Amino acid sequence: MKLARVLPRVVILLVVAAAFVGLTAVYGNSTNPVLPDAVWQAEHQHEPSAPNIGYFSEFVGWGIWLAVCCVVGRMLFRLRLNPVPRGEGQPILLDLRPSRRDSLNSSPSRAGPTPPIG
Amino acid sequence: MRRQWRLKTTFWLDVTLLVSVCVLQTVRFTGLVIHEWLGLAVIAMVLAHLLFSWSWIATQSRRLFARQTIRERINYLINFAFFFIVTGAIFSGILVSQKAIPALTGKNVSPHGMNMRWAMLHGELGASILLLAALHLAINWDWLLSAAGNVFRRFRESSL
Repeated sequence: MKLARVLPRVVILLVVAAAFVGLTAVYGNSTNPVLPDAVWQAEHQHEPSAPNIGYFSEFVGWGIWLAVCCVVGRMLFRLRLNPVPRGEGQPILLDLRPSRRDSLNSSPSRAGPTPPIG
Repeated sequence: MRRQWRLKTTFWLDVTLLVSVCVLQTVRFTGLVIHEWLGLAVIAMVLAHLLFSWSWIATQSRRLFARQTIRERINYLINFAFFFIVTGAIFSGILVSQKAIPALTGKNVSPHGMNMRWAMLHGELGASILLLAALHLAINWDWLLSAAGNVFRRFRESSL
């Protein structure tokens, strides 16, 4: 039952991912970027296989970069996406005065018990 | 109980994904072997993340052309771009893989045969992922805070 529900979702995600892969392949094969110098290429061809704890600071640096981008994004979204609510700064209306419809309902011709307030 | 389990799983999955995104940026720290295997593991993590968020994806996709708030539109756009870039980065990573994919396929790959164009694109997409992850985090910050509060409050309660 559960698998039957999850499987179509996985298929949809894989189809979308396959479309993205196709687009990336088209883009990657169509562009002809200027490759960086030979030193960069040699570095990339000979990346170390084993981890090196000495570069832990590099990981921390990326973490800080992510945090900074997140804070900037947070400020941006708070400013641009959360507009001040319309009611802010306005006096609170208690709405104690009966509306037109209420006054019609309680008119002498249709006199009845007045509904309790609140 | 079940809802709590789901929240906990989603929260820790998201935290793992976030740390993985940072770890994957630095090949010199992890080394190529961990970098490539972690990159492949991210495929499963992203799939699980998307399945956990399925109700949001389905609702927002259905309402794509309906009236929406700017926040909802931007959130959808960021998530769409994020998925696209992550897919591209994984695909290009597979194309330039020197350890994990050769180990899976049993083929020997010479580093000199690496396609530098794809290696460069992989690096560029990787940098974009970090930026999009930050924006994704920023726009879902309230959810993350409330989920963290919920998970750690339960943790404190159970430890008392």
